[in-house]
Amino acid sequence: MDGTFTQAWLQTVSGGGFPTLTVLTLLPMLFAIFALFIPGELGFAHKAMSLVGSLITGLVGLVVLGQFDRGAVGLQMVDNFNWIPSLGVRWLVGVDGLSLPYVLLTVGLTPIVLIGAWSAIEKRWKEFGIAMLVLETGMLGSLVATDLMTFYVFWEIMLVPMFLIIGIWGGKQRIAATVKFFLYTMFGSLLMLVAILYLYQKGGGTFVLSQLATVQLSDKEQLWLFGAFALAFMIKVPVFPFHTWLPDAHTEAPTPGSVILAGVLLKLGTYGLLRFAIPLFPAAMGKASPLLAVLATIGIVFGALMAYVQTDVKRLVAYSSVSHLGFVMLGIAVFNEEALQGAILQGVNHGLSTGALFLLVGFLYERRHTRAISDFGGIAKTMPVYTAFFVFITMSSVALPLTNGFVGEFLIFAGSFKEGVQSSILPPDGGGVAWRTMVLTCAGVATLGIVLGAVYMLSMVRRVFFGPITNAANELLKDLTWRERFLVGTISAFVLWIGIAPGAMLRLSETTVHAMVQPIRPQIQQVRSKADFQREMRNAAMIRPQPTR
Amino acid sequence: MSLADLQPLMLGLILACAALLVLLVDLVIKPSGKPILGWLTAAILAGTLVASWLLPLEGEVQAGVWQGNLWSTFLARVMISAGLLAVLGGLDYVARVWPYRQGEFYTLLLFSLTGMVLLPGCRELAAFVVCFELMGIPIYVLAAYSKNDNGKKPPEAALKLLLIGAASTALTFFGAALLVGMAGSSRFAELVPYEPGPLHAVAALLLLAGMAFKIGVAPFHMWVPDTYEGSPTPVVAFLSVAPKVAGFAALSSIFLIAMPTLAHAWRPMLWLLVVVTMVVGNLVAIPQTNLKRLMAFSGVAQVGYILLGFLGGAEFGAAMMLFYLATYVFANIGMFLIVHAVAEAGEGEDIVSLNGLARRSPWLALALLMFLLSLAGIPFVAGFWAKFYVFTAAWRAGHGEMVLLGALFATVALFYYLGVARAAFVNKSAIEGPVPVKRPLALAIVVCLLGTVGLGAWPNPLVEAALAAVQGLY
Amino acid sequence: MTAIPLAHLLILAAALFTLGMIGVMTRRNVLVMLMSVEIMLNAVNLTLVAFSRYHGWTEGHVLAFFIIAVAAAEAAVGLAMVLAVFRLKQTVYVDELKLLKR
Repeated sequence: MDGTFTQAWLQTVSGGGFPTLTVLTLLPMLFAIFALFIPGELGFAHKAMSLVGSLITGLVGLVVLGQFDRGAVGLQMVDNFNWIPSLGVRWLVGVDGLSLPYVLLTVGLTPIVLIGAWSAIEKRWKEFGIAMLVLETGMLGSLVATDLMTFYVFWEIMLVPMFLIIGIWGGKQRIAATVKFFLYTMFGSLLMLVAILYLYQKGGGTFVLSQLATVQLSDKEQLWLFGAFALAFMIKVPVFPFHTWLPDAHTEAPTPGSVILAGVLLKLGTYGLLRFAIPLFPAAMGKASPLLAVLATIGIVFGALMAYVQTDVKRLVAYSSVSHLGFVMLGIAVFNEEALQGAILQGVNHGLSTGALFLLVGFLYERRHTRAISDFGGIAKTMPVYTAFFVFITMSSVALPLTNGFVGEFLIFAGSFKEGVQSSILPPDGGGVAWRTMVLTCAGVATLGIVLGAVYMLSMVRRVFFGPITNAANELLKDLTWRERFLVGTISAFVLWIGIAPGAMLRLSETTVHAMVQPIRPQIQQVRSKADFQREMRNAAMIRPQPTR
Repeated sequence: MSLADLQPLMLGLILACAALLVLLVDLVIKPSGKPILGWLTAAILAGTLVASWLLPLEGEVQAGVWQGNLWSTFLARVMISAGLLAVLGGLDYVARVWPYRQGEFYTLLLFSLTGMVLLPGCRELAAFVVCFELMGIPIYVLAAYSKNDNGKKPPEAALKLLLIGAASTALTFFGAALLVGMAGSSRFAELVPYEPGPLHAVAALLLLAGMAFKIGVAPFHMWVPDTYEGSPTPVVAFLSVAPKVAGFAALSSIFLIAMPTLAHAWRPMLWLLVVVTMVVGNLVAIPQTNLKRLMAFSGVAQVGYILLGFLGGAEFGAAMMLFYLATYVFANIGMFLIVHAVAEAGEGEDIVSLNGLARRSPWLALALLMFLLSLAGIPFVAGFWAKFYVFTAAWRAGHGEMVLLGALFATVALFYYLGVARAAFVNKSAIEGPVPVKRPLALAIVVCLLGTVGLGAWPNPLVEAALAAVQGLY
Repeated sequence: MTAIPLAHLLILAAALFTLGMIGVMTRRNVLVMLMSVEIMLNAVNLTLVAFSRYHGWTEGHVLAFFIIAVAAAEAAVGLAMVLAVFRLKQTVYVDELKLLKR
């Protein structure tokens, strides 16, 4: 091809530089297209193809990390290309401290999942490999897109492969589970699409986030639009009471599906809230954040209680997800720097630890073809390495110090308590007392969630791993193979690394969080303190002392 | 008037001559050589399609009775593509099932296409009547081609189509006659005065009802499922898109050119029709077990979305309607051709006959998935942009409630589209081995697939073409 | 001879049209249904011709001729189909035809 043409093209797409993010996003799709042409009988070729595709994508991900400037504010490595000029849809991708951790999580987790699937997926590797690669493109695209339409396109792309992964390789009730998953998510997304359209009309024919954020909206409009966006994202997270699709989807999904679902897909809900819903509608967020905080707290406790009564290990882990994502949501609802940092980090943590838990449960399932807690007991004797890994990941899940979970939850609590105690930005006239009290209550109840978390996880671990071997089938269990050790070991290394030295991860998002909180938080506070102020004036009027005669 | 004045009608003339040519060749050719007729038709259609870019087709005929411009050319291209895809897809079937009647088949198809291609440019009622019927009558006959070769099945579905079609034509004509009588002119532009009276409104509603039958709008859709189920699938592939495209073209040229001042009468009616169509189409599609019936109701629902673009009104809405129609052609013909391929393999036309398709013929299943996604409006395939654009158009016209309704029913539509995808990808099949697909059929499916995916990744050229085409309407 | 007022002709045409429509919808004999369609089309012709005569121009007549031609074509195809059905089923009543009953 003509060199000048290539240069001119690059100039339009990425301002002359290498379009790293575009390549990162479309690479898995490209490999999926290659894989289409390999006959389905060659299962090995498909295993290799998908793995190579995801590994190369991982390398590009490392390049992104290398080029990323931690101190810079705003989007980096932006590729900007006029995709559909007649309607103002732009291919506008970029990363910042908010999306980069999740981009890394995605490119890291996908190869692990694919290797893990070598034993978990026994049939139809062609379809599986293609579905995983398309899914990766969908996830990466959703994370880097900052044009609402492009984002929406990728957001929807994720649905189809996930639908197929659960539907084809899932358990007995897979059809019901996958249809439920699809319809729930689709319903939310379509409402979001309507909201996007509304914004598009208001914003004068553009979908670019930064331009739409400056559109003047009335309070009522903000509330409705925020509602539509938030509903789509809250279904994805999922926040109580929209969580009912999750346990079914997790239980029925094959191990790789569960890992990706828990590891990345759910995080896209919280990411979407932070990236789109809150910056676009800060005033509405101000009104809605008490509700979000309450729902998050209910989710934490409810998820924990539900997890406690489960008899199926996988379902237990699924409900623990509801609980853990409650913490993330609490951090988002509080919306100060510490809490947000914690929320972003805790998203990554949950991806690692819950992903690892699903992998481990999958390994056990492959050996015994059951997941009922009552079928096990005492398998620490036959599977010591497995037990060690499981216990370690459990520690991370219940947020013991020196694991990543501790850092994340600590930050969220620190942020929440700080908000509750001092609430620094509030006007000194007493506004925001109700909010502060509420945050303190929520944080207090959430602490209970941590305790409950320890209870259900440890009691499960005790029943499965320790005590005497009651079931003869467990006596001949083989311990982890090297491949399996490698997979869980890699994740464990990251768990430990973030737990001991969280600085590197935190610094990734520090600048972005700071830059995000600075302009938005006052807008949130304004709404909140106004409402609080009015309420307190009313209260004051009621308890006003009688004037003395 | 010289022959050169007919230049803008060239596409129609080519097709009419082609129809006669096929008829003549059919007379002289040996029975064993008759499959050549299909190839001849396909080649002529492909040639006409190419010619639509090469020939100068702009201009007026007979002082504005017929108007050639981007609008008529765009629609002609869409309809000729539909014809071409249907001919390719049905080539082997036609040769096998009706070995002695191939000539008539292709002649009728070409005549019908002639009527369709000429319809969008009509600006006068006599021309409109002729084109409308030239399109319609051959289709009645095509639908009457019996599904199996022994000819033991009576053409009930076609008879139903004819009765309803003729009655709806009469409705349309009655409305038109009233307008012509009151206006004293049969030109569209002079049909309705600036301040219309109540009789004008009645006439407009009659016209609307007649057209609604043709394009299968609920509650005038009763013939759609029966005709789809009862007619040969390649015919249905053609029947399910081309007359619809022509119907929408006619609807636009009559209502947007002739009746802007009557909008207060027909817009609320249209609004109601869109609501009923989306609700009925989507809800009734859910319990269907026969693929063709399911596609029939899904088609009804799709018409609701297309009408939404029309309701969006003015230039933008009409352009988005064109875009929707173009994407719909690819996805819908593709769907029917896959149904046809599976039925040809002896599996029947029920959803269960798709069972295990992903196992048996992965490419066919992939194409099926893409068409389903396009019909359901899920990204990276053309149908998503189409839905999105008509929503945008409706929104711009102030029909936010319709956008909400449309989005809601798009979720409902997932139920049945997912059901089909589930059969192909999840269910197991009792039969092993790939579904045999003949070359021309495969070619047609691949073209549909490329169109659906290509327009999904890069919709801009078609959007701009549609926007430009609408300029020609006014 | 006094001219018949336009309104009378139009009312007659509308009445014919309505009758035709009711016929299509209620009759069970396919032949009668086809005839009803013809009545509808003839009502259209009557409307056109009445207007034409009233205003004194020819366009309505011309259109009526077109419609007559079209109606003939439609009737020919329709009758051919009725014949095909009759040959196989020995009936022209829709109650005995599966699809048309719906």
